[in-house]
Amino acid sequence: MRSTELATIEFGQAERATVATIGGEVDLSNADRLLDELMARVGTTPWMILDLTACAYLDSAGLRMVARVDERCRTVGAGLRVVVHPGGSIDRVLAMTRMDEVLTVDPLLRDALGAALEEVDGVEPGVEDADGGAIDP
Amino acid sequence: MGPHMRSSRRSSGRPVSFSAALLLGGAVQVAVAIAFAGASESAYRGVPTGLGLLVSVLAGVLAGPLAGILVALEGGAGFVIFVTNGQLGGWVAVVLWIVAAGVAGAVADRYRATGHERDIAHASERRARQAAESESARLAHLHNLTGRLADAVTVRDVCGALVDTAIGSLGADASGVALLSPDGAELERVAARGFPDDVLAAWSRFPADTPVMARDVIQGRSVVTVASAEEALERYPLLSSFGDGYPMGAQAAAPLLAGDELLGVLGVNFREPRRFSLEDESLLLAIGRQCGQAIERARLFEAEQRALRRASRLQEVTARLARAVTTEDAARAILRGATGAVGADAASIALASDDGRSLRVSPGLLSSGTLRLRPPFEISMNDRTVLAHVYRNGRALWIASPDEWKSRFEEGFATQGDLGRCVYAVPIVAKGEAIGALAVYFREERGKPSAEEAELISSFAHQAGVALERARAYEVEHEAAMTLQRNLMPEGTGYSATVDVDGRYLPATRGVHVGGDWYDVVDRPDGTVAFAVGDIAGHGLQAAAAMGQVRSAWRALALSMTEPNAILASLDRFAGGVDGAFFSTILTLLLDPSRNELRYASAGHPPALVIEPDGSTRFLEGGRSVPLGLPFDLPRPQAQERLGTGSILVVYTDGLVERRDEPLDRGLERLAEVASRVRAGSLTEISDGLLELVADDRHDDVALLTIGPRRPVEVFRRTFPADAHELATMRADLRTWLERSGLPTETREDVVLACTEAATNAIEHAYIGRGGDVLIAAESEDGALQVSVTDHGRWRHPRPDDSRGRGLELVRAVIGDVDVQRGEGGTTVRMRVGIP
Repeated sequence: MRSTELATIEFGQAERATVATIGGEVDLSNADRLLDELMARVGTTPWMILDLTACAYLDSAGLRMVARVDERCRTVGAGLRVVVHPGGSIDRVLAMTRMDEVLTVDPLLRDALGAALEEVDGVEPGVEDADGGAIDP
Repeated sequence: MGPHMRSSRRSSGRPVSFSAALLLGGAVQVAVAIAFAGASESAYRGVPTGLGLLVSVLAGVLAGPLAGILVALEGGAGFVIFVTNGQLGGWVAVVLWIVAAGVAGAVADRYRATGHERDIAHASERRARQAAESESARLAHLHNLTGRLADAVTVRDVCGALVDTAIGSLGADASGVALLSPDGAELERVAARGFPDDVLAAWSRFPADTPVMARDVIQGRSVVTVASAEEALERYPLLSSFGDGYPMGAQAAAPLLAGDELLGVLGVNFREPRRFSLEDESLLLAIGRQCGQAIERARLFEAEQRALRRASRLQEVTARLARAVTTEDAARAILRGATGAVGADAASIALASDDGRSLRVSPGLLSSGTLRLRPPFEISMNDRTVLAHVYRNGRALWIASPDEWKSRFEEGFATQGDLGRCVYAVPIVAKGEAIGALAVYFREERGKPSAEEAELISSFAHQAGVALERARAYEVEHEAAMTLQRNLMPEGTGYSATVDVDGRYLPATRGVHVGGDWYDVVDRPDGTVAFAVGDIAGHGLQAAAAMGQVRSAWRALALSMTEPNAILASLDRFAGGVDGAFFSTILTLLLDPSRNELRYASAGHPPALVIEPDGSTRFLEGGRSVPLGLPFDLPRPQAQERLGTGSILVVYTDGLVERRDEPLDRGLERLAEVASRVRAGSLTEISDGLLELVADDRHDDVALLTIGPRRPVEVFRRTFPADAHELATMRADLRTWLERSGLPTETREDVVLACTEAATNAIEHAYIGRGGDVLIAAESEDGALQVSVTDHGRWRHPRPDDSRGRGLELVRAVIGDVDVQRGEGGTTVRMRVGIP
C-alpha cells in the first residue's frame, strides 16, 4: 500500500466552511502530502472542518499535520474544527497528547458545521478559544 | 555275553537206523540159531547125514554173514552147538563158519563202515536241506519285514511291523515290543498284539530290572525261551499274576540291537507249549536286529523332525527377539517361545536388578493359544522361590509336584502356585553371569523334561540372556541418543526472521534408529534464508554425534556460501572425515523471500514438496546427486525454482514417506495428497497433518521442516527499510499478529501506534532519509507482550520549535512501560504491555 492509497482526502465547500474528509490511515508516509492539500484550502473559507471520522489511524505525524493546519488557520484568521469519534483511537490520541485542549473537537460533522455556521453570524472565527469563551476580555 | 541258557537240546550221535539194524540182526540171529539147532537134531534122526551137512553148511554159510553183522559180540554163541556135537559136519560147519564169519566180519566191517558213512552223508544232507528250508523261510519273513520297515517312518511304525512279523513268522498268539528309556532304567511298551487289555494297561512302562524275560534278554543280550507255562511260571513267578487271557504257553524274547546298542526287547507268546528251534531263535534275533536298525533310523528321523521344529521355534523366538527393543518385549518373546517349545502352560522370567539383590518377575500364562502377561512384581534374591533359588544356584531345577513345590519353596508357591503343578526352571546367563531365571509350568503332572526339552529351554534362557542384555543396552542407548538428539535438535518454530518455519523431529519408537535425522535453518545476512534437512545413514549414539557435526558444518557453510551445490561439495569433503557421516543424505536450499526464488541441491535425499497457494503440489526433482562421503568426484548439480507467492515448502526425511511394504513412489503420492488437503492451515497445522502419515510405532526417525511466507504466530519479527512508506504494511502485519495476542482491541491499537511512532522516530531522526533498517519484534512472554523497535541510525534531537519528536511522548502516553536505549549503534525502544 502506498501513501496515495493509504489515505483519501475529499473536500466539500460550503458557503463559509470547507470540509476536508480524510479516510484511511495517516502516518509519516502521507501526512506531508495531506498537509499540502489541506494548506491549499486554508483561508478559502472562514472555517476549515477536518472530518476524521473515516480515518482509521492517525499518529503523531498526522497530529503534526493537524497542528500545522491549526497553526495556519490561526495565522490567516480562519477557524478549525476537528471531528472525531468520541472514545475512538484518534480521540484518544488527541487526549493523550493534550491536543484536545488546543483544538476544537466535535463528535459529529453536523455539530461542527452547525457551530461553524452559527458562529459566522456572531463570533468571528479565530477569536473563540477552546473553552468557548472570548479570548478578548 | 552272559550264560547261554538253553532249555532243550536236540539229541545227536549215531544214526537211529544203525541201532535198529543191530536189534534186527540180533533177533534174526537168535531165530536162525534156534531153527538151526532144532533142524540139525531132527536131521540126525531121520534126515541123511549129507543133507544134514548141507543144511548145516548152508545154514552156517547163510547164518555167517547175518551173524557177522553182530560182529563178535553176539556172534559165536549158537555155533558152539555144532562144535560140541563132534560131527564132521559140525567141524566143517565150524571151519566154514570161521571162514564165513571172517569174510562176513570183514564184509560186515566194511559194510558197517560204508553204512556209517552213508548214514552220516544222509544226515548232513537232511540237515542241509532243513537249513535251506528254514533259511528260505527266514529270508521270506525278513524280506516281508524289510518291506514293511521301508514304509515305517516312526519308531511306533517300526515296532508295529516287528510285532506283526513275529506273530506271522512263528505262528505266535501274541507279541509285544518294549523300548528302553535313554537312561536304560525303564522299558516302555511301544507296540503289542494279542495281549489282554488289563495286562497292556498294567505293563505300559516298567523298570528294566523287573524279573520277567525282558530282564534276562537285557542282561544276556540274547534270545530267552521257555517251552511251557510250567517252565515260564517256575522261572518267572511274577507271570502268575497275569490273568487268564494271557497266552501262558511257550514264550520267547529277543533283544532289539542296533549295532552293539540294546534298544529294547521283542517278546512272542504261544498259548500252547512249544520247543523253539535254533532257526526260530535265529529268526527272532535277525528281525530284532533289523528292527533295531530301523528304530534307530526312525529315531534319527524323529530327532531331525524335532530339531527342525526346535530350530523353527528358536528362529521364531530369535526373530521376535530381534524386534524386541524393550526388556518387556524380550520377556514376552521368551515366554511365548518357552511355553510353546515344551508344551508348558505358563512361564515366568525373572531378571535381576542392577545390584543383583532383587528379581523382577514377569509371568505369562497361555490361554487358548495367546500369552497373557501378568503384571510384573519384585522378589528378593533370598526369597524361597524356585526362580530365586535357580538364580542363586545357577543350576536347573525340576519340581515334580505341588507338594514338593510347597514344601521347598513356600513363598514362591504362594504367588506362583496357580501357574501349574510342575515347574522346570533354568538360570539365565549373560556373559558368564546369572542375570535371572526362566521357569516353565505344567498344569498336568508329568515326567521330568527330557534331555532334549531341557536343552531347548536352556537355549531359550541363553537367548533370553543375550536379548535382555541387548534390550537393556538398547534402552540405555536409546535414551542417551534421544537426549543427545533433543539437545542437538531443539524443537519449535520461528527459526527464521524472514520466513515462517515449523520444524519437527520424531524419534523412532522401536530399535535404536534414533539420532540420524536433522534439519536446520539459517538467516543469511543478505536476507536470504538457507535451510536443510538431512539423514545420517547410521543410527544410535554415533549417528546422533555425526549428525551434530554435519549440521554444524552445514550451518557454517550456509552462512558463508550462497550456492547449495557448493555447500554440498564442501560437506562431501567434510563427511569423509566424520565417522558415521558416510552415505548421509542432505537436501540444502536457499530461499530469497523477496523474489520467491529458490535454489537447491540434493545429495541422495528425497525431493522437497511445494504446495502452491491454489492447492496444487509438485516435487522439486532437480539438483540431484549421490549421498555424501562417496569416493567419487561426481558433479553436484543444483536447480532453481520460482515459487508462487504464498507457496509452502515441505522438506523431510524418508521416515515420513517410506513404508517397508511399498515402493517409495506411493509414499510420495500419499505425502502430496495429504499436503494438498491440509495446506489451508497454519504451518503448525500443516506439519501436524503431514505427521499423521507416520505410524505411532515406527522403526525410523522422522525430520520434517515446513517453510512458508512470514505469518505472525507467537513471535513477530519484521525488518523493513527506514521508509515511511513501509509503515502501513508494518502496521497491517502487526495488527494481524496482535489479533492472536489476547489483548483488547484498544490496547492492540495502542501497540500499533507505539510501534509506528517508534519507527517513525527512527526514520525521521535516526536515519534522516539516508536509509537503513528498522526491526520490529514482538512476542508474548510471561503474560506480557514485549515489543521492541530497533534502528541502527544516529539519533538527532528534534528542533525545539518542531512538533516532531512528539512521537515518543505519544509512545510513553499509550504504553506505560517504555525503555529507550540510545547508543552509537542505534536506538532500541522496548515496550511492555500486560496481557489481561
